[in-house]
Amino acid sequence: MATRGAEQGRTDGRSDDEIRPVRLHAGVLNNAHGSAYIEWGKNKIMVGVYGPRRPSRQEPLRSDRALVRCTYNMAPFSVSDRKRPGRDRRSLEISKVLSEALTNAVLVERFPRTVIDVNVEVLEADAGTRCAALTAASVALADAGLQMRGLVSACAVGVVDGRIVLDPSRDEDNFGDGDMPVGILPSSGEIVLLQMDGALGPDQFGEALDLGVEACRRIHVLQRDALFVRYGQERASRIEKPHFSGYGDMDTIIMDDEADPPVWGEEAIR
Amino acid sequence: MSRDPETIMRSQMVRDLIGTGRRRDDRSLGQMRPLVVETDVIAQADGSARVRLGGTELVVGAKLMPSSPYPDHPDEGVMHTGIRLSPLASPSFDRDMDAEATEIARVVDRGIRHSGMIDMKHLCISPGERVWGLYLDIHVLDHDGNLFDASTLGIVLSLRGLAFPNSRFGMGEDRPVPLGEMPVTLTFAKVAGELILDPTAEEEGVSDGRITMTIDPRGWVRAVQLGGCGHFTLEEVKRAHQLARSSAEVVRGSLR
Repeated sequence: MATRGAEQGRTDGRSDDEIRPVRLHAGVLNNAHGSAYIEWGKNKIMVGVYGPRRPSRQEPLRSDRALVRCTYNMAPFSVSDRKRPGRDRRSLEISKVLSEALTNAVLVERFPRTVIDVNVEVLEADAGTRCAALTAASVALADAGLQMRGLVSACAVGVVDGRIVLDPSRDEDNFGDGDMPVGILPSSGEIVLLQMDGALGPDQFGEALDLGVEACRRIHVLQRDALFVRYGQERASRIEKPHFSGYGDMDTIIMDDEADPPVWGEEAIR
Repeated sequence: MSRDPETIMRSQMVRDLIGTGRRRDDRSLGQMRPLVVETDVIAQADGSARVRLGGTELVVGAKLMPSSPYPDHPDEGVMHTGIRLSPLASPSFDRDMDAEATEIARVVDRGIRHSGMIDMKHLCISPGERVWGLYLDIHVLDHDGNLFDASTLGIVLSLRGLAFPNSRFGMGEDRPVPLGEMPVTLTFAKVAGELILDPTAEEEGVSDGRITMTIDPRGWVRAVQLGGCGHFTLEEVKRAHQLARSSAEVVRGSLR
């Protein structure tokens, strides 16, 4: 719980301008054209991108550009009290603002009459999921090989006990006085995501915005690193699927003595 | 699925190969793909597991919430199984998947329920008033066939770490949920007249039907589902039963 009484520090011992630990991995799924997995504090989020493609449903397409269609979904087990599966008002709104933010990042005019699906699955939530999702989503779009103006980087700014703090945790979000997610295109400095609720004083608003933009630039470095790791290693070991780390060590169980890792269709193709 | 020449030729190749007793990934017809598992992956869940069966990957989260019993079973907990076929898991999930999802969830639910791995009476808090609701939610992240078997594996593994979250609801200390023996689900696809275990998405795509069986440790059948557009002869169903019984032992042995 947030401590009442100012210079007490933060619930998890961070300094006011400190972001929680972030781990970001690009290219972790087989089927998706591009994917990214992010752990941001206790948040665990998977993003998979399909497209540009023709949608299987009837969809009003744009003749001048691609539609970026983001779907934000929370797993029922991602929060303390089980969340009822399916869409709700919150996830619809988040999906909309994320779609719009990402439309700025992709060169959508290069892909008229198509859709680009960005699917966000929140496996575990601990405040700041939309910023973490947006950060991972732009990496997944880059992993899909789409032409982009740049990545989108995001981070939330909060107000706790009248102090402006970066990247509020769940407790700070629940008991704090304000929350402002900020997302930017670092390549141009443009702001593409901005929401706020709570109370920010006339002087605080500008200060919070500056802090948020500065944090986004720090996140941008992590995004570039994730892509560098993905495509730097790709050349060295192309057969190895990038290890899906971040969940910890895994036990490998081989079902049968004969079950060597499958070699995909070599014999059949010859 | 589109019927362009490449798809047709590829389908024919998969069928022909299986007709000669071989598969595209070099498995024998009765062999499962490599299985990779990890438990306790979601801190917010009361039990969780991540399973990768070949190219199929999913996360299962089990949650216990205080709930009301059904009037006809006042001293038993309630259980709900759900599955999300997230559009990120496959290009073919870009449409309404409700029917497919419901079938998988219900078949997997029946196998778990009837195997007695969880005794519903253990989930009773106060008869007729308060019981635990056990929510098993499956989240598919990558789809390469055979979601039935992977889902049961994920649920079984998530249950192994399951604890009553008493402290969260002011009911004393957390304690482990007593468990019975685990069921195993095995799915065979019928391709070129052969029964193949643990089909990939490509193999499912060319199959003439599928049969899913959940087997308990005594070798008893606990759930069956025939699916896909196709039919089986009496001999084929009996053969699937024999194969399922022997394969269940192999799977059970590897998970001990």
